[in-house]
Amino acid sequence: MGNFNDIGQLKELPTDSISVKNKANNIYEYSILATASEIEKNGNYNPVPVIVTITGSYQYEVVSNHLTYFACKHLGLEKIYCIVVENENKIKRLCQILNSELSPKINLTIATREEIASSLRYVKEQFKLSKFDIQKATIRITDSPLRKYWRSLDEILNLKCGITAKNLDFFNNVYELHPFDLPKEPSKVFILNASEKEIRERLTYLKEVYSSDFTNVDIEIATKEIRNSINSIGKKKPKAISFLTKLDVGIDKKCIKSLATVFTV
Amino acid sequence: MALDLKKLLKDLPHDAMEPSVSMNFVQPIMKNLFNFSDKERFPQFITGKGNKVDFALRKNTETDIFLNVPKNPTVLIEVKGRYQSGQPLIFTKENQNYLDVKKQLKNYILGENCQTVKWGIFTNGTVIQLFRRHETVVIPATELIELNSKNIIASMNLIKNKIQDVAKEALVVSVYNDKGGVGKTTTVSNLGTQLAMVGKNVLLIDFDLQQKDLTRTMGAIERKVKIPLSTCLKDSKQQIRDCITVLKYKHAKAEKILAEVSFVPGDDGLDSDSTEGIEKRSARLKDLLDVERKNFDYIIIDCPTNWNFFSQSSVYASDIVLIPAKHNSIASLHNSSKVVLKYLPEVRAERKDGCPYELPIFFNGEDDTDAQNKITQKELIKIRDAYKKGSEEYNALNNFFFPKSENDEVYRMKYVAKIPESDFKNMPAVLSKKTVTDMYLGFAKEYLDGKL
Repeated sequence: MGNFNDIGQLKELPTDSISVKNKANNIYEYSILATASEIEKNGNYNPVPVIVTITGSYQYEVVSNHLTYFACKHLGLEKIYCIVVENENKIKRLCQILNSELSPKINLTIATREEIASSLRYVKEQFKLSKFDIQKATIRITDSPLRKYWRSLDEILNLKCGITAKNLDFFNNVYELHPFDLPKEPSKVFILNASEKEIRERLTYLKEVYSSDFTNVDIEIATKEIRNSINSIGKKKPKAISFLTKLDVGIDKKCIKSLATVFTV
Repeated sequence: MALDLKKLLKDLPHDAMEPSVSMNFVQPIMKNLFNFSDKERFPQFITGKGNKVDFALRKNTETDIFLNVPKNPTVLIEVKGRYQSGQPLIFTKENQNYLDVKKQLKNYILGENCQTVKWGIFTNGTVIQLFRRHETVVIPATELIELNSKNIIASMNLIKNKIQDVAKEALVVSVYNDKGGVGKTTTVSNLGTQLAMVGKNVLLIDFDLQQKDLTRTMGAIERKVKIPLSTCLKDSKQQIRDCITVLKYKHAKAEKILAEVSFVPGDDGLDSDSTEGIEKRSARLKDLLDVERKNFDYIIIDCPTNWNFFSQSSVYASDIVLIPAKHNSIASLHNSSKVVLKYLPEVRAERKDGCPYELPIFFNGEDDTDAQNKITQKELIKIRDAYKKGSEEYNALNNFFFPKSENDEVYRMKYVAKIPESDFKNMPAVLSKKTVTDMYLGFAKEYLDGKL
């Protein structure tokens, strides 16, 4: 920024110093010709600027508002009003979104209930999914404990919420994922020999990854109780991990499967 | 095999002393990145008067092997340690270690055996900086770069590419003070013409486009050029060579040409409103002038008072800035320190190559009395001492006001009073007044080229 470059500035730039990288993929010739004639009617200038970025010495490339650029070029205008932005993908993308050339996406990794519901409503209407149950899908997606770790939207299919392999592409239009790293899965330990530290580590991991199953589990209390119960077991060794459900520390049946991934009996 | 710079940097111990930095960092870079073979490097090169620089470099020709006949080096390298005497050796912008090594390298570069040296490098394996030499002026050619794994490849390749070019190129000079009436135009016209009189290839630019004082002083007000400078600025397809007219000054009686000066006159085509539309704004002039660097010895720009589009363009395009003041104008002293502490650092931050730098202040003025001189000297000390001793600002002002010592008076142009009558003749005074000629020759020797 500042006085020594054009970033953020409105400039009248020579048409032949501006290029287009990707040929206009979705602009009809009709649109160009009709827009050109509208510009011509209004004194041959473009009050809405073309967005460009700098690619070389006095060389520019269209980032957004291609239609205006093609229309001005068609008219043979020597100069076009442009706004110069930094040559960064993040900014180019934002320009295209703000000019409605690209649809904005919701970060499903951390999306709120409201964002999820509104985006599902949008997809349902846009793509005419008349049988799609928004409320059911909203709840399933919002409550999905592993959502923050999803690396692909395919994971949504496992929720059986009405989004299927057939209509998944529609949802790809509105969602993006910036997943958190999955915590490293601790190795399995023999629970009767596990130290307090080992138990705490594994419970913490389970609560992090399977949070909805472990909502009632307080890590510290559960760790102490498990340790105590192991000490008092004596010779009657338990045959299954399910003995933990009897401790009254919030561990119930739905925890069994995941407990078995980190403890052996 | 390509040199793994990241590994080189990572493997250099944090407390490496000079010999270790030299052997494990500098030598592999000189050899495998800068591509100077064993016979193109000379260690402990005597620069002059018994001074030795750590390395001197020069490319060999078929018959001329640098190691065998160590003459005419093009690059000098001064190496320091990361640690010295058990203490970390830290170099930051304008701290004492940095000022010391800068001075040391400058002395080497200006040594009598180094007249062909264009580049000087200083590094301690933590920081590196490249300097360029133009006659007796030594200026940064990169910032003081703090090396890390992210920037080392780009930084080293930047330096590698620069030092390959050993051809002469112009020194671009702006004459600027934020205060008017200090003799900016007088300095440009007379210094420029004087340099031309001693055979230098000089381009002068009147960048106070509307006032056109320099154009008038040079007697070029009627001159036509192919395209005016304002058009050239506005149209990114134009080149400044089409704005140049050549002024030839002849002796009044004989036909002998006294001086030949290339000149870009001012014009009315650009006011402060229309500067907004110029592509790259205040960076445009630099692009125009950089193309001409190989064609001239000096490019000197006259710019208006006030920190506006024109003066910013001019300073941005320059390697060095000459800042005239008047010894009896307190405002001109204070404004000169603003240029040094505020404007130039701002432009350097934009340029990112270490330039432009100020040369020491000088006075355009007559009527000096001992009493007035003492008052002036006191005021300079006061301006400097407003900053903490040893701070970046203090050191910058100290070098600017007192390049030699606090007791030495500021360099002074005494016979400026003789100049106005020449202005009416539409030619610079150096062409007709012997006292003025001597004065500007002395000034050029002191500030730009001691060998004139």
